[in-house]
Amino acid sequence: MKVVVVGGSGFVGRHVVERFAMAGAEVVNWDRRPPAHAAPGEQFQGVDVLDGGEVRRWARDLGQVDGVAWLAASIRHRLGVDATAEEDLKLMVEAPLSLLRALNPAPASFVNMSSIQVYGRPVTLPIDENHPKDPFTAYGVAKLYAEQVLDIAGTKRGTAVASLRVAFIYGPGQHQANVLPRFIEAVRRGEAPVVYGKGDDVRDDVYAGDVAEAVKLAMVRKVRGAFNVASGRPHTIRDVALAVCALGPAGLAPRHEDKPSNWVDRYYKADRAREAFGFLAQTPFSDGVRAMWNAGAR
Amino acid sequence: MIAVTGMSGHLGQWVVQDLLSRGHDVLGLARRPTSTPTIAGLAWPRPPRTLACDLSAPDGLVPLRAWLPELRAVVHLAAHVPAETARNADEDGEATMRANAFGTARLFALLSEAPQLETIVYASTFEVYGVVERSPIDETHPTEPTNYYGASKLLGEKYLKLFENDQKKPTSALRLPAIYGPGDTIRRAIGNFVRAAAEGTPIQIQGDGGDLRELVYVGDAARAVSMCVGQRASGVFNIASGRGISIREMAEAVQRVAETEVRIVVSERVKPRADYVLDVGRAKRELGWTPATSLDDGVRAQLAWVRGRPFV
Repeated sequence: MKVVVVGGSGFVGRHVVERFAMAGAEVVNWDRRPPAHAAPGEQFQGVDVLDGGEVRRWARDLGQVDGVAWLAASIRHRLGVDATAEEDLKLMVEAPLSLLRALNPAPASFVNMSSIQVYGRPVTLPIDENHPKDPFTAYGVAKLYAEQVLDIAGTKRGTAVASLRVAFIYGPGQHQANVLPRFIEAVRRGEAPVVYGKGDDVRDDVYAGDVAEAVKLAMVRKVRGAFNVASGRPHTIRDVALAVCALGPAGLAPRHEDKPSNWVDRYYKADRAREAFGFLAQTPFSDGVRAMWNAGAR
Repeated sequence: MIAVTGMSGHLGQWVVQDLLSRGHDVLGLARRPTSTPTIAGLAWPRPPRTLACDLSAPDGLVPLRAWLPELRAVVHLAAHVPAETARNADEDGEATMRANAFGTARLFALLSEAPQLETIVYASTFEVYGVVERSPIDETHPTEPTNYYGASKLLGEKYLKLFENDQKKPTSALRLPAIYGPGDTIRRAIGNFVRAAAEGTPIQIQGDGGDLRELVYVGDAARAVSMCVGQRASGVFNIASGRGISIREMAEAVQRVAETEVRIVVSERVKPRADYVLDVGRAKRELGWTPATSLDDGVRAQLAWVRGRPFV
């Protein structure tokens, strides 16, 4: 099996490349920069996917591939429409579309990394795939358009396009600005992680390795459609802090700060992904946090 | 000043006429703008200001920047409309992305800097709904477009909503079906029937012609746009007949108003029957808009225009 992972050097990209490499697939990683440590059998190709000519040239070079995983994205959360909206469309819609069209023969599967941002504010909980789609960020708007356009193009070419609407992804390699890495850094210093109010904000964190498994399964099973990829086990931000405290000095507990939280509770149903391609988020949260802790200690 | 993108198009010219006749100052934008109507029979009370702009070119909106301080409202009609939306041709995928997706993103980004702007009215399409789950289709029906055009128009609606939330300015999107009336050059049912009547050839329909379709008369659609501008409306609105009009009813309307003998020839049905009816209750309640022009009057006007005669 030959697979192209676009954005294979990023946080989730590393997990996806390693997952395919472990399964014995031939993995080509398209990214702007090479990975710090290549996986066994991984081929890196430096590609600027915003350059349509370059995409077509390298796509010709690839020959026949069985599947594409498109992970390249610009993650910014603009609430209005500004100049970055067009850049988002170029990277998350135009570029994957031109790769899909350039591959000859057409791949059997194209897995598009989408986001729970397509839903916008929760109207019903848990959120399933039929929930209204009213994104409140330009990122979510672009992702929704990408899902539709890629599905249309895939249907014409005989490629099954799966868009994975992924919840909050955590794991080794996650950007330090996120809440979990910040908790880990605090606890490592022997300080209590800080949560606002009662800490009862409800969220769904899914482990990066589980997301990588979802990408692999969706590709191998050649499924078409949009699928939530979430742990399906909602927990509170206090639970998150407690899981990190458990790894630190004995007796450490989250510190509650009396600040209002503007969080809106949200969690997801991932039944469709389970039924369509057997996805189940296997990693218990405590194990995922421990993997981050250990990776950071290296 | 009210800017109208796509001012040289079918609906655009009618919108310019409607806005000018209500006394508004109009700035018309198009790749090739026109200060007099090209649809014979339309009469603009005075020429609008015009600006050559190309929404699909990366720097195509630069000329609009100088006008930003003047703008009170923008009517965004400009779009690439594929000849056959359902075919999903690769070229249409590209063109709808360039003009409708990138162009709308660029336009709204620019309008975020317009200090006096009060509202945007956006021409969307019934194609945002995709597969019909229930009929008549109201605005809460799921939106799962199945073609590039519908997807690009839905994207514009979503950007419009972001703009409204972020800028705290009301915006409205009109979900329009096929627009007919003087100036309609698209080769689909009603336009073909009217042309056939004018040329003295028979009207051809398939099967019983019972399939219900949606239509709106161009003058009624233009009035809906003006009402949204004037009311600073907020939300999405179906703008259509609201009852569904069968292919046979269209053919018979042409036959009735033609003043010459028109034959209807029935051939075998090739496509399965598919009905399409939009619910216009929201536009009636919230805007006070109704599809005022009867099918006969609309067809009569279009036929007069095709025959090069004046229409009212």
